[in-house]
Amino acid sequence: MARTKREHLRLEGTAAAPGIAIGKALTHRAERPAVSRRRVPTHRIEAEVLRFHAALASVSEDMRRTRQRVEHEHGADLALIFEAQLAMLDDMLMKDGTIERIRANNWVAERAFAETMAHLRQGFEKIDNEYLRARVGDLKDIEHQVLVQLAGGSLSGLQNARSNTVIFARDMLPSEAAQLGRRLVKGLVTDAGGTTSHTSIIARSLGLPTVVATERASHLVSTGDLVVVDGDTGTVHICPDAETVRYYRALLRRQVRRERELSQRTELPAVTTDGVHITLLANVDLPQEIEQAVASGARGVGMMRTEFLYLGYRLPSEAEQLDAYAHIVRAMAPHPVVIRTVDLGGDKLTHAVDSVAEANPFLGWRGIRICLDTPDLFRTQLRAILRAGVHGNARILLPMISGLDEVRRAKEAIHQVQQELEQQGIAHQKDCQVGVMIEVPSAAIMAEQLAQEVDFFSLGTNDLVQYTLAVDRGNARVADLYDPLHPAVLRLIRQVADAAAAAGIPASICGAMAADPVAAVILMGLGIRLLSVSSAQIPELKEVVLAANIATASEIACESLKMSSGVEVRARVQAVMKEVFLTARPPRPEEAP
Amino acid sequence: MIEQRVTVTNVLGIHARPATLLVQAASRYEADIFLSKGDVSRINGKSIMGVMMLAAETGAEVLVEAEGADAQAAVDAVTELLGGDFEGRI
Repeated sequence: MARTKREHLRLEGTAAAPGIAIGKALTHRAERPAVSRRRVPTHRIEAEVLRFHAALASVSEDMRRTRQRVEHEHGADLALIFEAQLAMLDDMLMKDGTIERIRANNWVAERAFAETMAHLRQGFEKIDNEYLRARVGDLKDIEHQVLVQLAGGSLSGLQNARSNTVIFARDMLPSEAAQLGRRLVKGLVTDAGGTTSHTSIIARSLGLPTVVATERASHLVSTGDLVVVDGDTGTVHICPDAETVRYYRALLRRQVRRERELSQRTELPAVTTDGVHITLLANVDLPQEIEQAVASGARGVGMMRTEFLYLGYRLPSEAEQLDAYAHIVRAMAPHPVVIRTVDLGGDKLTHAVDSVAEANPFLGWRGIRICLDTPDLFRTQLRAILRAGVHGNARILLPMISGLDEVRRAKEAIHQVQQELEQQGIAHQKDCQVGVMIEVPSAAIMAEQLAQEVDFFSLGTNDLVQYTLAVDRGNARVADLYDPLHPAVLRLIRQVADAAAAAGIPASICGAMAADPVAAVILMGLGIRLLSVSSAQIPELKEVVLAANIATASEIACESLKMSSGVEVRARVQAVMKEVFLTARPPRPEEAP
Repeated sequence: MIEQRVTVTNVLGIHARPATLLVQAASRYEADIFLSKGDVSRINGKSIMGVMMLAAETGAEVLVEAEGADAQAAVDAVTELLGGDFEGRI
């Protein structure tokens, strides 16, 4: 590495989840070690076999520890991922095959093991079952871990997370991010990614300060370096100097104090200075987040994502889904819980459905398109939602709607499921409201017609922005162009809010945009009265609402429709409504005069 | 050598999770246990990867063979799992 040890290095990325983290770096998923082709002298063969056994034992032990932690922090469902991997590590074919190859060829354990795994992988790739074939991913994962262990290197995986760890990775899969717990892992830094990728969403819901799109952070950091992640500004410090550390420690203390203050105001209604009530709702990704959502003072769940159920090895059963939904609906009652039917495809976790690689996944088979094409999958989920509704108030939200026809077909499917439950004499919610996500520009343009068909709108601004501006939200090189305050986006939102108001149905925002104080002000000015954000962001958002004035916000919103860019919109809001943003932090050392 | 044919009845066929359970059960016996299906013959019943590669879907017919002191008990246990409903155990 060219960098001199201990030199303070400051990197700028994109802030993806707020908060400050100070800890030791851990680089995740290093390169696969080179496999030596050296021969082992015959008298050392048995020692080589023992070395192989020891490596397996060590990897198993790490994995068992991870499984326990994941089970403790995220529940038994996510922990299942490790169950099969543990069984594979103990596999006879794998062990016998490797040992045989060591003995027969005088190969080092690495080579014998890699050869055996390659052989097994071929077997898996021939399986005539998409689902089992996909388990090759688990084989590769194990292979990597054992090879790293044999190479004597400490395993640079999540398994090695100790207390106060900040994970550095080139990129991270959503399923990997779901494994991160707040207890040991304090922050996350990735080279690639965008603020609205699924990984960032999970990081936000876990309250994990995260900076993405740093381009090269994982190459510049070494495991064990002291690092600071500033998830508010998108800055990462590697081996920071004493002054910077002092500043961030003070900021961290301030952050903890402030969280405590805000949490004492959860019962206060969110009303603007000119008396307009704003409903603050929580987005929920995992069932165990619901307690936090209730505690944050949310007046309902604005969007419950259901993709977590589809993370595992098979499609979730009706009973499993019913359990998860009923838990949330019961906890939030009498407030409503909007459950979004599964939005697979795009960048989302999918190995449960039989999908093929697509050239343009975001323009491909995803969301409602998958649901309408796989009626059994859709039907099972609808049954579970309607049955969960009897425990409180559930609502169905349909993702990726692009036109009227899809809405009518989905409503027909819901109607059929209701009849079926009726005939079977199974208790279900009869007056369940049905709404659509407005996230495809065509749906926003058709809002007036769609409003006649549904009970509510939910604006998914993450996708709406990316489709309207033709910007891939996960591509670091164009991330700058991803601008939720772009006047074109604001015009579409205005059109949707007007259509909803004319039809007398509510329209909420459930994208990351609602959590940005400046954007929240504009959204209220455009006529939006329901904002849905992650539970952790509700107290902060309430502060903004309490300080805002709708009359002023409406004026600025009107002006903003004619502005040239989001930058201009932001500057205008900040200038005119200074009092709303008084919670700004002290300047950083490098910014101080 | 004890043998028995069984039709896989659980809804999922032998996927990762049920395969784990099957291997765990098989490993409790001394006897060597082999599974065959169609042209895939004599997969080691104590190997998770082997059982997964067998890819026995619902409705598939599987031949269970065991050799050793407790072969009968082993065959009984394995056929019960294959023919039974895994759902309840997951």
